[in-house]
Amino acid sequence: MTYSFCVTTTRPRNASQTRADILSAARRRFGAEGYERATLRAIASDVGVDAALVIRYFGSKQDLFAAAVDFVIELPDLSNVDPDEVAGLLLPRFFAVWEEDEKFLALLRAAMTSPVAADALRRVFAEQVAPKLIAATPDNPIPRIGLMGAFVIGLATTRYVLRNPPIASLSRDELSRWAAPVIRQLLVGPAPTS
Amino acid sequence: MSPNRPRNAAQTRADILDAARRRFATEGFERTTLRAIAADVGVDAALVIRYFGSKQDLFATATEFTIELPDLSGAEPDEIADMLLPRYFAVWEDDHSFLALLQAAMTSRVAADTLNETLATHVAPVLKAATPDHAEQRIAVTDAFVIGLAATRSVLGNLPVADLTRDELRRWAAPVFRGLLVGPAPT
Repeated sequence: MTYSFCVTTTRPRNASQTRADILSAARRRFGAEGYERATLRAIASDVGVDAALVIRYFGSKQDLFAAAVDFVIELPDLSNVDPDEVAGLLLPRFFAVWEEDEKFLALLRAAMTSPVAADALRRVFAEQVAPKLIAATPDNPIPRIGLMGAFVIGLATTRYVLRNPPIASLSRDELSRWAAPVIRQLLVGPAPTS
Repeated sequence: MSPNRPRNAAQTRADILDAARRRFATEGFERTTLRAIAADVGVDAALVIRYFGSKQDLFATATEFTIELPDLSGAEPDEIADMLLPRYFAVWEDDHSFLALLQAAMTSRVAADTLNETLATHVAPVLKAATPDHAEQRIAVTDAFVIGLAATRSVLGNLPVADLTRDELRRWAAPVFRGLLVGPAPT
C-alpha cells in the first residue's frame, strides 16, 4: 500500500494520460490472460493507480473491456467496385487494423478463450465488416462473407499471434499478392456448382 | 481426496490429460499449474509428475495430435480440397488436443511454437507435394486459411461460417484450396 501510494504521488499525472495508460494496460491483460482472468486490480496496479479509480473512469470490468477493444474498421464502399479491385481496396484496411492498432489483436486473443470477448468480436464483424462485404457479393452472401471472415481471422492469427515463420516473414506486398485472389474468389468469384 | 472412487492407472492418465487440455486451453501454458490440474482430478501433483514429467512434458502429451493427410503428389487439382477437408474436419471438430493447443497458442509462446512446429513438420511436407512452385508462400497462406476456419468454426463458434454445413463449407473452400495450392502464381 505504501509503495503504491508513493508511486501515485511522485508520478506526474493528468486524467487523459491516466485513462490512456489504463486502456493500454487493459489491452495487455485482456489479450494475455483472457477476459475472465484479467482483474481490475491487476490492471490498476500495472498503471500504479487504485482499482477504485479504474472503476470511476470506466465502470465495470465489462465496460472497461468494451472501451479497451472499441475500434473502428474503416472499410470502403464496395458496391459497384470492379471485381479485380476489391482485394486491393480491402487489404490495406486489414493491415491497418492488424498492425497499427493493438485493439484488434487484444480482442482476437481474448475471444479465443472468453465468450464475452467472442461476442464482442462477433458484433464488430456483424456491425462493421459484414455489411460492407455483403455490398460486394453478387450472390450467396452468407457463405461468401463467412469464409472471408475465417480467412481474415486466420491471417491475423497465424501472422501476428502465432507468428508462424512462413507467413510472418512475408512482406505486406508479397502477402497481398497471394491473398488477393482468395479474397476475389470468395467475395465475387463464381459460386461453386457441386 | 476420493478413497471411494475406483481408480486404475489408465483412467487416471486419461482424466489428467482431459483436465490438462481444459486448463491449458482456457488459462494458457504459463498460468496453468500442475497442482490445479491434479486438484481437478482429485490426485496429488506428485502423481501427475510421476505419470507425465514436467509441465512442459504434460503439455506436449496433452496437445499431441495426429493429422493424417493424404499423399497429394499427382492429385487432380479439383480433387485436392476433397482429399484434404475431411482430414481437417477430423482434427478441428473431433480432436480436443488440437483445439486446446490452438487456444493455448493464442496467449502462450511455448504453445504457439509447438503449433508452428507441427505445421512445419507434419503439414507442410504433405502440402508441398501438391504445389508446382512458390511452395513456401502457397503453404503459408493455406495454413492461415485452415487455422482461420478452425478458429472461427470450432473455437469462436459465433461467426457466420460456423453455421455452414460441412458440405457447404467444402464447396466454397474448394476453389480457395485449389487456387492457393495449384493455381497460377500471382504476377
